[in-house]
Amino acid sequence: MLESMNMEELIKLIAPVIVFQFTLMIFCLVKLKNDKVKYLPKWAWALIIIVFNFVGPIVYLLLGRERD
Amino acid sequence: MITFKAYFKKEFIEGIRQYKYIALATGIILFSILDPVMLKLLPSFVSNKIPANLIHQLFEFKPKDALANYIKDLFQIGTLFVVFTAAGSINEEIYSQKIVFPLTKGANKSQIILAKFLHFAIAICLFLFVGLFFNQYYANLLFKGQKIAISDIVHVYFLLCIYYMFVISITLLFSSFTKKNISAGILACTASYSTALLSQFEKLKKLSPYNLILLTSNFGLQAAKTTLVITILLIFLYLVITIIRFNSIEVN
Repeated sequence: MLESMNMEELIKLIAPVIVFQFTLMIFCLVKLKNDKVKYLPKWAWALIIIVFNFVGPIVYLLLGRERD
Repeated sequence: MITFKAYFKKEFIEGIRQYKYIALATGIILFSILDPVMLKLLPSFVSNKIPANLIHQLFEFKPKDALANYIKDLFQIGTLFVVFTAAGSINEEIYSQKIVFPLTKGANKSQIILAKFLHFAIAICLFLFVGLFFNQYYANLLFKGQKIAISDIVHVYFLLCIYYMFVISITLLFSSFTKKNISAGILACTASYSTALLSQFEKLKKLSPYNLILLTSNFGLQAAKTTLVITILLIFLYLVITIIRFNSIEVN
């Protein structure tokens, strides 16, 4: 059955991952709006979060936030 | 033992508050799903550039190829997530003066390091378990050929756990020597990746922890004996150095 799967069906298979990526991106952008940041200006972090799938949001969460 | 328990709980709460678990889960579990699907889609992506008869010859993947691809990505990208998640755990304690209060209450420094190490080790082992389980499921579902057995996964899981414990120990070591988590992260990444370089030399291969990653494709633990012993010794050594370093730092 899976051999006959087309591209669309395979993309449906990774739909949870796509949803997770989108949620993570939105979550990080909302956090970015309220957080103090370090190393880069806010617009640069926003660009990193949007451009680099998965890696961008995580890099921001781990390195970009100024902790009180 | 009180310090150990208290710090273990503290690390757990901090892991949630600072989104460390999201980072670890993303770095470890995500590729377990993405990799087999991407490998499956690869022929479609290159179908315009390569003749159809060649595509079948070049891109005929088996479930074990998908597992090998996941392990490769874990080493290349997952390590970055693990290192940068753990990189700030000691230097932040010292230089943001969080450690002062626990120390005045008589906290044991060795137990603090052990709690941190064990916390990361347990978290990573759990995420690795979930990641390998997902990868096995997707790889067996998407590809024809010999299926990945549970025993293969157990073998890979054991070797990866030991390798990542080594990565955590080296990260904690550098975290105790540097002031910023970014510098600790870069140093730990360099050290972890250079183990791959070390394994290029046939004589040094068995001494390099990266050999554990290479041995994941060789489903049997006999060949991994020497490397396992060396890696476990290195983990102990790094932890001891970290404890000595942490004890010698003057906290203001």
